[in-house]
Amino acid sequence: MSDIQLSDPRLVRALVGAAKWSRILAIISLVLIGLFSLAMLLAFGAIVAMLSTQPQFAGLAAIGTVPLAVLFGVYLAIFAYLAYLGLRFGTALRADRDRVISNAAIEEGFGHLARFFLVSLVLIVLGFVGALAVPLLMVSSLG
Amino acid sequence: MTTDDYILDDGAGLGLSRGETLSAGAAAAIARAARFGKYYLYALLAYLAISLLTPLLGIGATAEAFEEAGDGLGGQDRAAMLGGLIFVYAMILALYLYPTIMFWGFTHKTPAGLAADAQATVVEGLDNLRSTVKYIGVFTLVVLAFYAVAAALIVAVGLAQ
Repeated sequence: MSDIQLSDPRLVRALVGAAKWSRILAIISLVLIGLFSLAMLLAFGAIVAMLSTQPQFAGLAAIGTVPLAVLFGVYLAIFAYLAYLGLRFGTALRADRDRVISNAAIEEGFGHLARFFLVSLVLIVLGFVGALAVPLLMVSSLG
Repeated sequence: MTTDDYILDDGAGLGLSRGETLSAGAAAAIARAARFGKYYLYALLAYLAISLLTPLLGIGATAEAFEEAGDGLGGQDRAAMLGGLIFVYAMILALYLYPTIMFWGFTHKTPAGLAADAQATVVEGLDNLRSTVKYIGVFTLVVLAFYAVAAALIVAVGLAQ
């Protein structure tokens, strides 16, 4: 047990403020992901066919519509999970009637925030490895 | 009241009741989030640095390639490319410096405050987290508003024609 006082109004203000903006961001993200998913469901084939006519996107047609749709689905699901973790952080940290946030709420909220950072970290590392691997694969295939 | 006074006073001067204190489990959860946040920040900064440095190095290579092809970039063209990049970098720096400093504060001050049992440092670290999330939230709303206005303008121009 530490000496950090949970009734400190500055502590409550910081946590409630972070939680409020986290909720707003998560809701915006989920709405955008939902709209994007809907657009993809309705017109994915048409979008891929249209892009395939452009020389720089010609490779898309070679991959095929179904694998591309699965790839986009996984991509959107990962971002939806991140938004969900942000929402859980935001909803866990609510002050009670006495303007105090409980230890259980802090433990739950920051548990979700830690997972959010961990998943984001893994995504950055994967993106970095991918950004290095693709040119190397292209060079090796040319050689 | 300064930070030192606040630490010495242990919050009593602010009218804090000696009520519930942060449990070991809650402190561990905050420290864990700050630790992962720190790794995330380092990875993000490394990724950004590499992404931003690559085009800067590319200017020289592009200019040399044009020169070899007999279509040399003049000094003015090269200066214009460099000027454009510097402008883009300055914009990125202006937009991302504040949240980066704030997030850095959360990931460094909060665990230090928890380790030292210093109320003021923990509060400062968590307030930095609030500032980071608020900045990203306001920035997102501004960008969305910009897109909405742009979309409305496109529709209006399309209807007018």
